Amino acid sequence: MPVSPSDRLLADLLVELSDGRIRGASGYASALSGALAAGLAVMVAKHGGDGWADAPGVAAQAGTLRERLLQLAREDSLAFAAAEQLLGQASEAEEPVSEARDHALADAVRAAAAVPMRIAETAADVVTLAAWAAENVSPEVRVDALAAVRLAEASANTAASLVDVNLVVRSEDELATRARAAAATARQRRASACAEE
Amino acid sequence: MIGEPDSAAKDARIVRRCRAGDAEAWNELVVRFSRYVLAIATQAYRLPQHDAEDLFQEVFSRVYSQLHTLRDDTAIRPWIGQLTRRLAIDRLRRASNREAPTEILPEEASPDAELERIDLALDIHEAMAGLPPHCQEILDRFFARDESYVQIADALELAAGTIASRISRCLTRMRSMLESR
Repeated sequence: MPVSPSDRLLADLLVELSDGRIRGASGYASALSGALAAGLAVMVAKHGGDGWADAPGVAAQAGTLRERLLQLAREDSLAFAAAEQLLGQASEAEEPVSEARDHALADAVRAAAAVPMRIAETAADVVTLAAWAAENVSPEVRVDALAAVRLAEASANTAASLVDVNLVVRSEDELATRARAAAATARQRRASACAEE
Repeated sequence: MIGEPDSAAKDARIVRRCRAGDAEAWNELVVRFSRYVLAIATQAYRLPQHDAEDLFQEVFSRVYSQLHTLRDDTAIRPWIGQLTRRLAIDRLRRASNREAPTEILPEEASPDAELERIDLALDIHEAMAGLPPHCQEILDRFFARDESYVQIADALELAAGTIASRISRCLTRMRSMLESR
């Protein structure tokens, strides 16, 4: 079977991920899963939304969320690498770590947690859109809309768990609270969308 | 595209006033097309900021001296767009003759797709201005400020579950406005 350029790109990406060449691999993978779900939501709105007045609006929003999640995948990788580098430098330092450096380290680690929080919120929005689409698109693509719902929920949950395990984010912290709320919204919408299956 | 019915009629009125020597109309013309000219210079042809500013001056100086050659007043936007492109390419050619051959050339900048994108962005910008304030606000928050549904709901004191449908309805209104141009 011929291999298309996009298959090759995807295969290269998976090899990079497997080899540990993508920093912050879990955040990257969760954002990518959310982006795939958003892509499915665009597809069902475009191809199964005949007669549904909101289908073009759903496609436009899902397309925006797809691009946003791709961008967040890159941002997550960069933020993780920056925090990792600072942590490495701190552990190798021979002299005591200064207070200023301590703050810089905490800021970098916190910034690394802000990205998965945004991934969780964005993925939860994908769940909302895909669930709405599942109620309104033609039966032929409803299963795809529900697949998008489940995939996006997994993305939101995974990203929220990454915020929770961050070294400097406490459980009552705003980042953690928002990420958990996004995951809860995603869960609730998925349960409701899939209830009648 | 911008330059059709309402928008083109308004362009033509400004051009007529410019021809009649109305100084205020010249200011309006510059304000109306400044974003367009700068967008072509910096986004389509990737000119550095200082070159883009020089080009901006050159374009409007030519518009001032050559406006009498414009045959159709409603075609002022494509005329200014064409003039800007031509002058940007001249500028890039001069730069590529002076500097190393690795400098960006117009072909490498592949500006056509970028120009289409700029035209579309300007169309959308104009259509946005014609929408009711609540639509402008919600579309801006979602598409330009990258806010989530929850953030938008909190800021506008709306139920989070209604945000996606509100955005969708506002997009429908904007699409109707763009189609009726």
